[in-house]
Formats: sequence, structure tokens, C-alpha cells
Amino acid sequence: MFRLLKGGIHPYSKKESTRKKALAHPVFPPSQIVLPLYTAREDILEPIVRLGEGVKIGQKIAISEEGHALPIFSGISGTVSKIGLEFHPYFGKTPAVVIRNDFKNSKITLHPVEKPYEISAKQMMEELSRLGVRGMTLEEEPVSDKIRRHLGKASTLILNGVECEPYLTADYRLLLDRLDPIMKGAQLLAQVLRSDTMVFVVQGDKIPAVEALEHHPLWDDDYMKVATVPTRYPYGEEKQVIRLVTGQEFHKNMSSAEGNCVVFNVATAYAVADAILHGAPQTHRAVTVSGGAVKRPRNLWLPIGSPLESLFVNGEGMKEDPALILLGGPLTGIAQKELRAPLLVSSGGLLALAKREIPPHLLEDTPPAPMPCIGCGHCLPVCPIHLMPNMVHRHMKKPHQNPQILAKFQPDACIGCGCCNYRCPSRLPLAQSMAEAELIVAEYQAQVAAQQETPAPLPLPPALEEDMVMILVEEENNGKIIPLVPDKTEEPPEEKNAPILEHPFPTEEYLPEFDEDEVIILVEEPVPPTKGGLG
Amino acid sequence: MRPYTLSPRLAAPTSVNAMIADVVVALIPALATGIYLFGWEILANTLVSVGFCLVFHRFYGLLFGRPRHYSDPSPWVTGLLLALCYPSDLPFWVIPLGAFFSIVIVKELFGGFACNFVNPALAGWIFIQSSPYILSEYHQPRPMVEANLLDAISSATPMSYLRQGVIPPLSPGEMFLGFHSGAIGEVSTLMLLLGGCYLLLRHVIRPTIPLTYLGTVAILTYIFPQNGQDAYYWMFSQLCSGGLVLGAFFMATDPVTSPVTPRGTVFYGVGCGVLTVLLRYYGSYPEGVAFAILTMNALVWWLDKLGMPRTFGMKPFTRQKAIFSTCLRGIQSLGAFSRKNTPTSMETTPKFSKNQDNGEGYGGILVYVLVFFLVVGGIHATHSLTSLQVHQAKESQTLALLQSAMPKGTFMSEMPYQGDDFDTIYLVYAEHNAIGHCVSLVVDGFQGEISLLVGVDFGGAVTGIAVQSQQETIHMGEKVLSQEVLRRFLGKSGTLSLEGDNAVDGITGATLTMSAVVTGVNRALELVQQLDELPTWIGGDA
Repeated sequence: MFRLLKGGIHPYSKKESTRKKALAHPVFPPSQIVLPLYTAREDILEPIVRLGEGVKIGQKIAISEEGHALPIFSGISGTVSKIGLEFHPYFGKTPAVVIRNDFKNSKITLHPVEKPYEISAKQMMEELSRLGVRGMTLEEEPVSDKIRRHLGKASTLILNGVECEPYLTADYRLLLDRLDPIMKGAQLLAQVLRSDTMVFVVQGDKIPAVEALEHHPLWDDDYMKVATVPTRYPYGEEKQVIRLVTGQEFHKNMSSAEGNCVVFNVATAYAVADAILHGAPQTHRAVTVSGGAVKRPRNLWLPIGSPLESLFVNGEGMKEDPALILLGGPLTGIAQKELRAPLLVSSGGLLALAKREIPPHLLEDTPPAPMPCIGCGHCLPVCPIHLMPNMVHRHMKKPHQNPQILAKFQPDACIGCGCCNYRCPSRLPLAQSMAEAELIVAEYQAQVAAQQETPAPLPLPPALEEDMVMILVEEENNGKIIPLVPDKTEEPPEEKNAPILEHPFPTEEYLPEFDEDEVIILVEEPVPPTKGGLG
Repeated sequence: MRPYTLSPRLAAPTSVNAMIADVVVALIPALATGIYLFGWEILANTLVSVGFCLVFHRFYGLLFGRPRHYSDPSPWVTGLLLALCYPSDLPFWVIPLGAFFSIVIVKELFGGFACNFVNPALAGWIFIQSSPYILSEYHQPRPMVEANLLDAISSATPMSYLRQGVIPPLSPGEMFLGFHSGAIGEVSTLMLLLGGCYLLLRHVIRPTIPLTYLGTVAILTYIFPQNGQDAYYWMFSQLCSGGLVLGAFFMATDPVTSPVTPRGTVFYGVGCGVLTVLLRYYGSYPEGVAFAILTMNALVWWLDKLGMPRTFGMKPFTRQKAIFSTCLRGIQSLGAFSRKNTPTSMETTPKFSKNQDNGEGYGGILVYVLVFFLVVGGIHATHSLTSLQVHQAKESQTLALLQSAMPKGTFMSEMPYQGDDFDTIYLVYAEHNAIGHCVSLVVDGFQGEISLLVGVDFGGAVTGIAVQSQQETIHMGEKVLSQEVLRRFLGKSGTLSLEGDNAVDGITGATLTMSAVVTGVNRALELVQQLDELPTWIGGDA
């Protein structure tokens, strides 16, 4: 069923250590959770709990006043112990709510939909945004937004269980252990989106998941399929999956709605089923704790916001000193130094890698100077987007970059998979050069657009930034609020001496049939001020 | 939003040093064959060559203080390849000279490792080769010398046989295994193929360049064998002789000087193959591999532009179409009309042009190519039209022929006559008066065709015979077609024969050639007789 796809690499898989370990509840639940108020979509949330207030599992913690960010919920029961700056895995210190666990696991009463299988699209979108269901990618796009974009434009519903990164088995175990909710969630999504076919995509090393899917009681051969894709990275990226399943290729700015298909992660389908059938908010996720330094690697079902150190506690500690701790897979994961940082919705795994598992030049954050580019061209065939990373890198090495030349290489189409870095024999930071080139090109294109268009009035500072500043200031000045953002500027006064055209038509010959009334109306209409007008 | 990271934290088990080491390992079979065929001094030569390359590299770095954060392992490969390109016996100063040129001039002066634009080993080899007498002698392999009980003798390489359009007198096995004279590394095709396969399996080189290179040479030599040789064996000899396999697997695939784009490598391999065959057929050197690869090395920047891959989501050949439309626009803008009349890019670009590169600036090269060909054609036409020497030579040749056919004639003009394809009748003038006819005709001689120019006056008598071209043997041609014999035809008219009335004295031993000349003269006389009516303007004032 899959079609031949160019690009990609085949790194070692290392999934054997966790692939036979079922998804487990933590033996040692986290003693506290940290819920960042700064989201991956750069929104600031407003906490609605107070310091010292008791919270239950599933209670709403923070909302967005403007309404375009989803609320977040607590995954444990306990008391709010701190509202202030805490570590974030990506952004240093950000405002966050800290909840201390009382280990009672008291839950709020849930209000599920009455007839879930007759739910309308509008009701489902409202329900999903009420319960804060987000996608499992790094962008954390709300699922309701994705449904809205694809309404009536998704005849093929693709459930993505590829999980192409080494070490990670969380989605695979979710497919095996929680298949029932996943099937129900997929059915709900297909029903709302009016999809004809439903395709589960798994990688070639996940044959037990294929068997489990095909023997499930809800399985229907008429409109369900399983597509097994080659075991290569990055075949789990959304556009690669669409290419493999439907044969359509989407350029960087094209939406998958143009191809009449939509991709959801299997974990997202699980969250949708949980929200619609039980009315439960998205508070937990499946995580793989693995790596050569972990004593007992395993798959865990953990509340979102658990500190990373609590994951290693559940892995029964380290058997040796980890050289590197990564949130995410080894190919796109981000190194963590502060283990108090919380688990995010997008984190599929936490790896503690031993020194022997990492190439020596990647151990430290300041790698040694690489060899020059010898032009071997190995980075071209592995690029899934068919870009030319070596050319971009060569250009970025020059003292002055020409954005017009860089734009020809289309660095903005890069998905940042890092295949070029993996393959490069000179150990060049090609993907990083590509990201820098993307910034230069974007800046240049913005300049060009600004020159071409008429200068628009400057936008007012958004209220969200104001909130951000206030929170920070509150933290620093012990609660005194000093507004830094100036008041809204007044609208410019209307021009008083607006010129009025007294005789728009030179002679009466052009208007022989017009009545006097109409002419008068034309004359009395306000005329917009023109540059260098008659006045 | 993607955080700036140092990902990925994995890397393929490869490095530049490992690639260089793989190339060295892949060259060991060829070197071993060289040692077996030509003796242990080959190993010494190789070690000295590599040593000199390393020494020059190190000295340059010390003298000019080039800051280096990395070690440059490429002198190993350069020295090894240089040694493999030499013949077995060579003057002592060749090795340091080649190493100096390769390392210092070709590589370091252009910026060091990975900055050279041509292959250093090839450039050094050509520099040595262009010295007058050094590398022209190739010795026979030692086993063959011992078998023939001879001293070490220099002999013609297979390439020099092929250069003369002859298949070398060797069995296919000898050609393939390397039992013939030649440079050390290039003789054994089998060992070079082994090394090439090792490189392919280790993913050091990509298969595109060797396959397209060897394939192009194979196809071209199969289609165009020289001198009517057997096409299969001609192709096999061309593939197995000279430095073709060495060049295809080890020189053309040098990562620094070969294109990176997949399409570019195809163009590169095909270009190398075409140039190699052209240089082997028409070049002044017997071997063309080195010059072909160096020429294509200089074109790599353009091949990479031409072969830029299709970005994910773009339609196939969008960029190429855009380049073509840009070319058309460029050609239109070359005209006298202003640019305002030319179509803009928005009309020709496809649906998603907003997101994509529309090929601006890549197409201009084709305009330059067009202009180049126009200029070259113009120069050539002008030269051929105005070349006085060529025309003077032609005129004097024609006049000499005419005067030997009709001594008084100074000028002749062709008459309207539709006859045999080879027969032409001229009217001959002395100053302004017509004095007779000349007939240019072709007769079958003993070995081939003889082209004659026979002069006949208005009385119908032969005034002279000139031989325009002939293919007779030297013996007969000298005898019959000499002025002495041809003078026997002077003044004859009517129908001539070798015997009886109106006879011309023959030559013993060359009867066939003589009768052919007699036939020609008879035909000329007959043709002139058939011109029953002379034009009225002939001889008006005579």
C-alpha cells in the first residue's frame, strides 16, 4: 500500500528494551506537578486557582482570557503550593502553577456528552476545546482547530502510529494496551469529519500492533486499513505519512485539507475518546523512559507536568551516570539539564543516554570544529524534502549572506528532522545552518513585503504581552503592579479640511439623463482625502 | 516554533578520515597487481610519492601558517593515485615534481583541503605528462618479459593501438587481468573493479558517476567503432585499456570535485564519457580520460545548478521548466524590442509559484551558450570565406591541372551538361577567347577510380591529360600516369584503342590501367563530339 519515498535514514532502533513492557501506572507517583502557563504556541494563560487552594484530578487550573488558548487541567489531587517562575524544558524559566500531591486521587465529577455517537461537529469541537485536548506534536495544536480546518475535506482519516524515532515505544504500547479507546476515538473522528476510509499507519517493526488492530471487535475491513511503512526515520512526519499513504505531496505552505485527508496521532485519538465518552480532560499521557543509563526502562502512564526526575525514580534510578538527558527521541529531542522541568503534552519519551551511546562529537553543547564540507553529497539523498543542506551551509559560512540566493534553496521548507546531520561524514551542523538561513530568508521576505505594501498602522500591543509583563513584574516587585505598557494611543483626529469635489463632472453633457437629486447626492458624499488634494 | 537545538544526538558511523582510508584500501588490489607485474620498485615509488605529498602538505602549513582545526588526510590518496598513474620506470625527479604540483599548486594555493576545483592527482599527472619525453615509454610486465626471454622492453600500450584504429593484439583475458604494458595502476581492470565495488558497498562513492561514465563510453564505442572493427571487441578493448576504469571509480568520483545533486552526477558522468570518446578518437594524445575529467570538474558548479533536486511537493521538472521560460525571456530581451513587450514571469510560472523558486537567473546561461555558438559560427564562416591562402592554393592547383590538360588555357568555366555524375565539361579560354573543351571524368582503374581531366580542342584532338586523383599502385601509377606516357595521347582524335588503327602504345605489365586511360580519353572525345552546336558567342572575335 505504501509508495516508494525518497530520503530518510535507518538508525539503530534500540526499541527492544521497552517494547515488551506494558503501559504501567507509576509505582512512585510524582510528589508534585508543574503546569507551565507559557504554552508552546506562545500564549500566556491566567491561573484561576489561588495559593493553598485544594485541587482534584481533572480540575481546571488556568485559562486564556482571550480564549484562543486551551485551558490546562491538573493530573493529580493536592494543593497549589506555588504560582511563580519554574523551569520549562525549552524556554528556561516561565510562570507556572505548582501542585503538591496528597496521594488521595480524589476526582472531580465528569460531565460526558449524553449521546456521544450522535455528536455533531460543532458540539464536538466545543467539547474538545472545553476539555483542553491538544495534539501530540511539538506545536500542540488544539484538536478542535484541526477538525475545523478539515471539516468535509477529509475523506481519508489517517491514524499515525509510526513512531519512527529510536527508543520510543509509547505509541506502540498505547496501540496494544489501550486499543479499545483508540478505535472508539477514531470512529468518533471519522464520524464527525465524514471520512470514507480510515487508515492506521504503523512501522514495519510493529507487526503485533497490526495483528491487534485487525483482530479488534470494532475492526471493519470495509473502510479500515492498516498501512505498514518501512522502518525509516522520519517517515512518521505528517507530510511523509500522507505521501506514503495517499501518494500526495504537500509543499510547505499547503494544508493537508487540499489533499482530502487528515492525520491524527493514535494518542490524540485516545484523548478524544476519553474526552467525548467520559468527559475527561487531557491530563495524562504515555511516556517511554529509556536509555542506556536507566536501570529499568519502561513505558509509563503519567500526569502531564510530572517533573522529569520523577520519571527516572519510576525507572528505578540510574545504573551509571547519564552523559545526556533528552526530552523526546534522540534525533529531535532536546537536552535537559534541569530535571525539575515538567513533562509536556508533546513529550513522547525521556532518555538518559550513557556515554557509549552518543557519538563523542555530540556529547557537549559546544562541539569541536568540524571538518570542512568535502562535497560528498550524502546529505542530498537522505533529505526527505529533497533540499540541498550542503549548499546552504556553504553559503552560511560566508561573511555576508545573500537572502535571494538562500531563498532559492528553500530553507523554509526544512522540517528539521536532522537526517543531514546524521549522515554527514564531516559532522557539520547542517540542520542548524538551515534554521539560520530560514530566519534570514523570512526577514528578507518581510522586508520585501513591507516595501511592496502600503505601510499599515502599527498594531497595538496585544493584551497577552501585557499580562506576561505584569506577571513578571509582580514576581520581581513583591506584588506591586507597575504597568510598563503605555495606554492605548488615541485614534488620530479626523482631518477637518477634507477637500470636497464641487464639480465631479466637467460638463452636463456627460449626465444628460441624471436627475438633479442624484447629482446632489453624489456631490454630498464624503470624499476621502487624497494626497495633494484640491484643497 | 522549533527550539534551537543541537539535535540529532545520533550520527552515522562514518567520517572523512574513514572515507579516505576506504579509498586507500580500495586501491590496494590495483597496487598489489602493479607490484606483481612490474616488481618491488613499484612499492618504493608509491611510498616515496605518498611521503612527498605528506611532506609538501606539512611544509606548506608550516611556512604559511594556515590555521587548521582539523587534520587533512587527502595527501594519502593524492600520493597513491599519482604513483599509480606513473609508468614502471621513470626519472627520479618526476615523483617530487608531481607531488609538488598536485599538493602545493593545485590544492593548497586554492585554499587547501576541499577547496580545490580540479582533482589534484589528475592535474599533477597531466603536468608530468605534458613534459616532452618522460612518460611516453611504458614497459612490458615482468612475467611476459620472462616468458619471452627478453630484457625489459618498452612496448606500445593498448591505447596506442586503439589510437590507430587497430584492436590491440591481446586476448580478452590479458586485457582484463592486466598482462600488457601501461601505467602501474591502470593495467588490471579486474582489480580496479574489485576496489570500486568495495567503495560502493561502503557507501563512500555513489554508483551514478561510474555507471554513467562507463555506460556512455560503452554505448558510444559500440555504435561508432573505428575502421569497421568488430563492435563488441572494440568496445571491450576501449573499456579495458587506458585509465578509464581507474578514472571512473577513483578520479571522477572525488567528492570535492564532483557534483552533489543526483541529476548533476548523471550529467557529469555522461559528459565525462562523451569527452573521453571524443578525445580518444580525435585528440592529439592517445588517452583522453584525464582531460575529460578535468574539463568536467571545471563545470561542476553549473551541473549542480542545472541538477537542483525537486523540492518535496513541487511538480516534477518545475524548476527546469522555469529555467526554460527564463531562457525564452532572455532570448526575447536580446532583440531590439524593449523589455516591456516581453511576457512577465507570472504568466509562465505554475500554480504554486508563490512558494517556489521560479528559476530566475539560472536560465541566463543558455542565452550565453546561444550567443557563444552564434559568435563562433560567425567567425568560422568569415574565416572560411575570406581565407586568402586557402583560395589561392585552390586556384593555383586548378590552373596547374588546366595547363597540363590544355597548355594555352588560362581560365575555364563549367558548361551546362547533365550527364554522368562524375562527368563535367568545361569551356577553356585563353585570355578572352575560347580555345577548346576540358572534360573531367572518372574511370575504373586497376585498384580504384582514376579521375582525369582531358583537354580537347575545337578540332576534336587531345591537347593534354591531367590526373586529378588516382589510387593505383606506385609501380603502375608511376609507369602509366607519368607525363611521358600521357604525352602519347597528344593530337589524337576519333576513337582510340590499344591495338590496330589509331593505336596508343601500351605499357607492358600495366595494361589495365592503360586501357582505363584510353577508355576515359575516348569518352571525353565522344562527349565533345556530341556537343553538336557551339554557342554562337564562342570564338566571335577569333
